[in-house]
Amino acid sequence: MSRSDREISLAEIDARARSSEWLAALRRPERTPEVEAAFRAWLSAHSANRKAFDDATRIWERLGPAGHALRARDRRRQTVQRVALTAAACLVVVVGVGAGVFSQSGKRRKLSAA
Amino acid sequence: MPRRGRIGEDGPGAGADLAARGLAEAPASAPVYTPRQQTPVRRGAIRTLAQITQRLRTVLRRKGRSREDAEDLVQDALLKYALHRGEEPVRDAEAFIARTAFNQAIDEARRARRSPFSPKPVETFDLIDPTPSPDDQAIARAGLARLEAGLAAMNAKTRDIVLAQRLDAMSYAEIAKQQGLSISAVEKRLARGILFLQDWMEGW
Repeated sequence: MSRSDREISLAEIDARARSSEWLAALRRPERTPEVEAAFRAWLSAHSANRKAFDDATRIWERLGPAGHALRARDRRRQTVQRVALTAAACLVVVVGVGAGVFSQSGKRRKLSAA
Repeated sequence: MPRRGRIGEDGPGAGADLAARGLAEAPASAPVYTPRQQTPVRRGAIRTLAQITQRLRTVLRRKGRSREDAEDLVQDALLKYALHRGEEPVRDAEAFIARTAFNQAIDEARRARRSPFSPKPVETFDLIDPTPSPDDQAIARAGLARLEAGLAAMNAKTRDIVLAQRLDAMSYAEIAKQQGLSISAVEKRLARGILFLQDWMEGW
């Protein structure tokens, strides 16, 4: 049975929500002794708490490479879009100029023929 | 070069044969070894074979040989001595054994210098690849791709806050200013983003 198939207990749901809150709280610039003590008390209160916090921490660590990859992908996509847009604009200009030149030369030819 | 068996460890047959030739390594308390062709011994007292080999080991160790190499050299020299003695008498056992061992040591050192390869067979090396196995790498890559997809699927404002904190190391106050939110709202958003990813990564 894979982990995604099993029922998640209420304790686990609560632990997961609290773990994300604790992770965010511990990212504050100042970590007061009160917060530290409350965090440690919560962590040791239930095995599900420790497990959930470990999961959250692991995700937080891997968010570094994942976030960089996402940003790089966005940058690449933006570059491609910009190149495509520029190419499209160039095409419009070339076609426009070309059409103008040829229509004018055509007119001239018509005039000389007349 | 294959590891040679130790004299005395070659089974009862070989041991008995060497013992018959008066070559088995004698314990310190054993009677003094006397070469068959009794000749004046140069450095004073006659030594037992055990004393000779012990001395030789010490000298080789002092010359920078490993304990194992020294032992091999001594055993080789003893074997050569035993073979040689069968053909013609050796006048000074200690000199013969020592000279044989030193020559062998010089030869091996010369060979080792000339060849860039270790004299040890490759099977004896501990070859440890510190990189994770291809399977682990594939799993890690898949997990990272899943996480990236989760980031992309997240609410855009929450994602900006998460990445500003994680990648740009911006403080809650800085993010709050940039996003026009209160500091506690930024912290709550960050927590919500992590919770979203924890659910997203369930089973991964």
